[in-house]
Amino acid sequence: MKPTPSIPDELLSAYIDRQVSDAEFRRVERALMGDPALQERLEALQSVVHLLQSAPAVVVPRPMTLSEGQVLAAGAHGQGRQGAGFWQRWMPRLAPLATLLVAVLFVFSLALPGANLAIFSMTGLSTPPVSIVREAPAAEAPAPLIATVVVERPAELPAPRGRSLSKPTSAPPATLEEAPVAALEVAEAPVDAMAADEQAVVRIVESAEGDAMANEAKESKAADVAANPPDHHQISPLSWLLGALLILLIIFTWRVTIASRRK
Amino acid sequence: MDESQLIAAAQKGDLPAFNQLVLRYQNLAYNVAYRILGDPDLAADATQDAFIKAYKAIGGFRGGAFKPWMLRIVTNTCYDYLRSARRKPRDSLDEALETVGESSPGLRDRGEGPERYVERQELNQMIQWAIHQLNDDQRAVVTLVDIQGFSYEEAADILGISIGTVKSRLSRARAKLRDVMQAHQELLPARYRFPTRASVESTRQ
Repeated sequence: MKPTPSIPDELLSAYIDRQVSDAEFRRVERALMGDPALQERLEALQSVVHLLQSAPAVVVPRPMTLSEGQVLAAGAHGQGRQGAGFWQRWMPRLAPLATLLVAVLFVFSLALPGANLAIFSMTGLSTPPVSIVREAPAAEAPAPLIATVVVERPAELPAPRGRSLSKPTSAPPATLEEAPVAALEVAEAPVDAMAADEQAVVRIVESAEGDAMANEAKESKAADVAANPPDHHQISPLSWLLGALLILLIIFTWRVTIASRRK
Repeated sequence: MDESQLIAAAQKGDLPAFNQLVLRYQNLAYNVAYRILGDPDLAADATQDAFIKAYKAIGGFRGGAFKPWMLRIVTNTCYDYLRSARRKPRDSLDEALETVGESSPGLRDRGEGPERYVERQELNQMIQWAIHQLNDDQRAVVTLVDIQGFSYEEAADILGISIGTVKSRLSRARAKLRDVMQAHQELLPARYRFPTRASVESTRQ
């Protein structure tokens, strides 16, 4: 069947779909009026369109919904889904490792209480562990005693009323009471033997006083311990924190593992 | 959830939300793929691949109509399948194309009688055989416009071509189908046979 030269197939096809301009539409209508061959061409094309429109729909043979496994096998989700794809892929592997790491830290924090201080200083937490707070006063007890040790001098020497073992200061005496001590130090300077004796005596007295005070501190500590026995089972805040984190991670890992197995 | 909400959720990686979209469009996508490829199994594979590609690419979907966007992925996937099959000397697609019209996928059950069902099967096979006499581009346009009922503009959008190109491809495709079917009228069910000149003239009178 040869197309009528004035009305090409393309125009006739568009005419069937009403995809022509008004001028083209009128042109086709006029041509159809007295042209049986054109009418036949139009009818044949319309039959093709009718036939194709009658094509029965086919049923999808299986559900096309996607599983996580298919998506993972095909690669990460695109664009904003890239991050999600990354986590979906790596979370089942990272979660158990993170849980293991926190578990180790938790055990470490329980086994080595001293580690709490180091970790606290690293993490910037200001609250020290409870067990350290309880032991601190006993450890610090000797310090003020040593600071108030009094030097005992021989009887023939003009003994000052008191003298600190701390480093002598060159600053002028601030009060009248300190003046004799300063005068004594000036007078002592040339007398080496006397100074040596004095130092020996000071050491002896310091030693005796130190022993006495150490004993006193031990007794004080023992009394303190007896009154408030140190609680070695006390859990530090860091351990509590790690324990809570560990529980959360175990739950999270369990859910991630279950989800990945379902996929 | 409406479609835009499902799309927004899918863009955040919500696979169940995307699967809701799949359920809405799987029949349309599969029918398009089946008409272009001509084989039910290949069409199912291509449809599945297209949905996977769509899920991976949905982050780049910038609004507008989802259906043409989805169908563009489906038609491109079908083109990939056709190109891939032609690169191989003997492929399942070649065999499938040789048997176009012999195998037929499940047709929608309309509660019709067996005679009507057989007629529809024959019609389906005839149409499938006829449109495989067309080249790939013509087949895609015919599938979208004449079988699926898309407008020229929608078909142009899906295929990424101009409306003028849609018109010309469709015209050539219909002319070729007309010639093919007139040559094999006996294969058509009676009610779909082409009119003769005498019948046209009698209709006009």
